[in-house]
Amino acid sequence: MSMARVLDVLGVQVEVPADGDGSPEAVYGAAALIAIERSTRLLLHAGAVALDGRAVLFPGASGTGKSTTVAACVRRGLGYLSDEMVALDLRTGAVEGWARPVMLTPWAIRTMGLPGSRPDEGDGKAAVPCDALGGAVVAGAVPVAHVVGLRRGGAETTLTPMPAGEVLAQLLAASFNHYRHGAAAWEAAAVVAGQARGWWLDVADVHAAAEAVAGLPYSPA
Amino acid sequence: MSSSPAFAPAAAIRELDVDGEVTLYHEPTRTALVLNQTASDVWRLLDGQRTVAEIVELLARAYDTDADTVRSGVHTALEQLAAHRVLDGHARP
Repeated sequence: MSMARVLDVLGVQVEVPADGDGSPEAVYGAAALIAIERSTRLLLHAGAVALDGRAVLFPGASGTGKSTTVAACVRRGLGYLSDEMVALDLRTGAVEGWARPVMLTPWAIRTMGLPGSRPDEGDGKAAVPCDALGGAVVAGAVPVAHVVGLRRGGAETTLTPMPAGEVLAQLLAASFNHYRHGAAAWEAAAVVAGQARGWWLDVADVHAAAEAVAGLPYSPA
Repeated sequence: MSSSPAFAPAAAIRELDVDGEVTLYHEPTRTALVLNQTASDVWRLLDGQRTVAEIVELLARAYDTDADTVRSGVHTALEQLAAHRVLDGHARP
């Protein structure tokens, strides 16, 4: 008999199939959709890690490299907030991460130097617990210090400043449910964009990207 | 877009400055707009009185260049603002 379990997705309790029933990517994806539908908080499609007690956000759609970059950052010693979604507090501008297992492709698992992936495996993602990456989950809300837009395919890994207006555009584009919050969501995103520092990160090598993130300047958000 | 009309921010527009660039929120459509530098400068000069030609002249002076250089940018900005319904426009007599 199949058993269900309950996931806490940023305060929304979602019942999902027991471990082993369905691919992790499908299970967590479905849970995210339910949480987005039910949540009263502003949810952003973003990976996030913690650096010096402040959040580094990677807003972006699926396929932009959020999970792999987050995994490399956690391997590098940064705190884990989420590889997929954060909730932005409209009053304080702080974010809380959905610290689900990191969803990694077989390629990413090999790149992180983790066991359990064979070269002949398909493209299906595996759920890798944060502690398997040697990292720790950061619980609770933290202020946003940096917003980093990921760009793949560069000849070398480089960080370049992103204007605050573009940071705001990135945050708004990454919002799952801003329509529920109207102007309050826009104002909160504008405050974050004005206070955080924005960067484009062109990624040629994911470990060099993690090194660049770890070296971001201290920013008293 | 004609060079003679004057434009003003539409009603129901909220405005914030983010590190020197303007962001707008259109209440009726619940749409946010992030303006680039030129569009931000154009927006700040919209008062319902200045014509497009006057805005071009002012920005040419501010950017220390000639009017022809900034004219297309101003027109593009106004067209985009109008497309997002954040402008009220009228022809000045």
